[in-house]
Amino acid sequence: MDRRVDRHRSRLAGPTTWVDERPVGVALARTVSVGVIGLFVAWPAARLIVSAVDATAARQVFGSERTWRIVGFTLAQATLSTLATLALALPGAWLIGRHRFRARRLLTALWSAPFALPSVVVGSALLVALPDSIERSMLSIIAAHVLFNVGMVTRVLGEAWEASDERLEQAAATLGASPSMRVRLMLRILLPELASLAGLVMALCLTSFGIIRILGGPLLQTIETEIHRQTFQNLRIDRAAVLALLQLVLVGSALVLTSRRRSGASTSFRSLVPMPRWIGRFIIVMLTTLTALPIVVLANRATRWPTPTNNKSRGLQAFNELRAITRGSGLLNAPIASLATSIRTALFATGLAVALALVTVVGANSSRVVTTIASLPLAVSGVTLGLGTLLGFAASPLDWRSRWWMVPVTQGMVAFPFALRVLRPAYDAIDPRLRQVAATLGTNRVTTFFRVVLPNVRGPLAAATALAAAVSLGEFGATSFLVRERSETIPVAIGLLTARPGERLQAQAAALCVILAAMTMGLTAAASMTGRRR
Amino acid sequence: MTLHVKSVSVAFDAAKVLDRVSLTIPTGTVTALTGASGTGKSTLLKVIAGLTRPDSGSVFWDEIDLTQKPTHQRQVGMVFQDRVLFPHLDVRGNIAFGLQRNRATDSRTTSNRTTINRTTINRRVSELLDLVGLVGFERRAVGTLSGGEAQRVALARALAPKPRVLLLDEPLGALDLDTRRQLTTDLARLLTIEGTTALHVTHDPQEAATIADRVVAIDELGNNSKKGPDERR
Repeated sequence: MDRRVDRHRSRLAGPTTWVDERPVGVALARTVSVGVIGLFVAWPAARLIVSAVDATAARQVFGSERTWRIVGFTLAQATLSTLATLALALPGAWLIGRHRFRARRLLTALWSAPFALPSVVVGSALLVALPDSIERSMLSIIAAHVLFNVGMVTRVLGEAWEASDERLEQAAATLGASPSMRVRLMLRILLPELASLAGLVMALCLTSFGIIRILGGPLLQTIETEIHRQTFQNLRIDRAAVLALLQLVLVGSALVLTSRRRSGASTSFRSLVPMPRWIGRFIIVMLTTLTALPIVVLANRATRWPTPTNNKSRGLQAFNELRAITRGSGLLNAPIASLATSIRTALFATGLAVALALVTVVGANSSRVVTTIASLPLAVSGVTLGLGTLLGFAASPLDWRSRWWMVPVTQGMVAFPFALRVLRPAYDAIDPRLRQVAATLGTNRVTTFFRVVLPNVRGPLAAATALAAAVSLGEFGATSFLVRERSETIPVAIGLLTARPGERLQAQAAALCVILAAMTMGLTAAASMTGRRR
Repeated sequence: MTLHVKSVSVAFDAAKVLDRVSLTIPTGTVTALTGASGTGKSTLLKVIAGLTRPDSGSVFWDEIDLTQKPTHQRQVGMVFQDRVLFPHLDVRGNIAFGLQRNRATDSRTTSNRTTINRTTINRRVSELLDLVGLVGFERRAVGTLSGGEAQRVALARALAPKPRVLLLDEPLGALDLDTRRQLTTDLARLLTIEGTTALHVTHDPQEAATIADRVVAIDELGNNSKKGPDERR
């Protein structure tokens, strides 16, 4: 309904053919935002591609049996993870798309919460929860990917199912279609949504770095972890660049599938396919258990501290010991460094998103170009961006890779598309006639943006900032390339701790995971609440 | 002082909405513009306001060519058909919006808008609230206003900076009959008191007769265009 009103409003407002006022502020915002994205995304990517154009390195990489084994494993784990995620998400999507039950909205929001968790937290949770025999296997990797994505897919697909026209199902019923035929009919109708979600999950599983680093161990490598290994263990950046280019092609192909087509909306819904009560309960219990699993197992592990007699005492000792034991290694700084970095990242990413919004909202002529440029970072995985940054900012006059601001800026490049994704619909929802009235009252377009547009998106602006901070807190791929000793972020510290043997270190890693999960979930909950307000 | 619209043409997607339209509005007069749907009345208002760029023709305020001037430098006021109030501001904030100093405008234009101090703003807001019959509504959130009250606020807001010309795009069109009758009388009184030059688009001949000094049909303005699909474009 709201969308129809907005479309109607846009039509009433007429085409954007205002007499040009050539605002200096817009030109400045356009130059700065496009320049920043160009410098910190396009330049590292270009530098990476140049490095990859090395016949010897390419021959070595593509001529190696190891490479093809890694590519095969990368594709296999991503495909199986995607199929498993969809298989588990479908019953939940059907449940929330076609049935009313108590706490439906709350449960739907709860189920998608793990998607906001940093990948290292989900990986660490599986490490704790699974038996030793399978904790570092393809099975555990698939389980982690399912855990990470199933709630998000359930929610998005369920909402699409809910919005699809129930009359089609009713018409099929009057024509004699059985319940299973009607479910299959709805799946056919939802196929574009299903395919786009499959593409998205596939891309996420291909670029999953934290989960593979923690659960893959030394034997199971994907392209992402191999890029990291070639860079830091073998010191073969040329080979890493070739692999990063290959990764870029694979992720780009998967993202092509994520372009979505929306089906028509209908708000009323009631299932024509009867569902036994126990099946509904089973689906709810299964999805809620999957959601709660990471936090419960990590909290359990973090509160069990090994004693000299090989027993485990219950308490908060892991949290206390975290300070004492990590003092020497510099990991003491992790939570503080992470918070400081995420605050800087959030401010930077939101500032960039606001500048881009200013350009797209006010400078209508350049909006398409800027929107395309702004979506560039989505096609580049964190690891690729980290390696590109490492290469692109290594020599004078751009020898910046060790500067303190490089981590927040690079994380900002990862986070700002999320901030923009929250802000853009809010800007679009503002009645364009408000800007027209402001203009007739003597305010230029830039002033109108600050006096009329921004005050009307205060909620989404706060939500975008919180979301950017949450993304920054959990960012692992790019950060692991750039972070320096004694300024490790929490995900990097978790990665270091889980890679070392010892019960106490594992308990501390779990404690850090709990801290990180609490911070990111708090931020995403805040983003979700403030995002609804204008 | 006179507003001159000279041979203005506008086409959307090859469909001509205005074709060589000319109009003159002498200062201090109210002109009602009538015509069937799709004949480009609202488009003409937007051309005068600078919200739609004409394909050809010009808009003059006496000797000043407004055609290339952006909207915020034209000193025009505009009231739309339905509720278009700033939702983040209360009634007072909406009315005072155009009175508050806009540095960019002051420095970039040759307009005679001057910086207004807080006392003057308060006085002007109170004066307008009295004129539109909304005394005591200063701190009301605009979302709580009825349709008629909202249009009174929109009218007061447009009049506050004393525009050269006030453009009224069917401002009473979305109101019920009783409210519309009451507001028609109030609007006529208000425009007379303020001595405002206005161009008022309406479908209602009675409303036009009550408010306007003269009534013109858009078909008489040299508009030879075929009827557009939607005049509100």
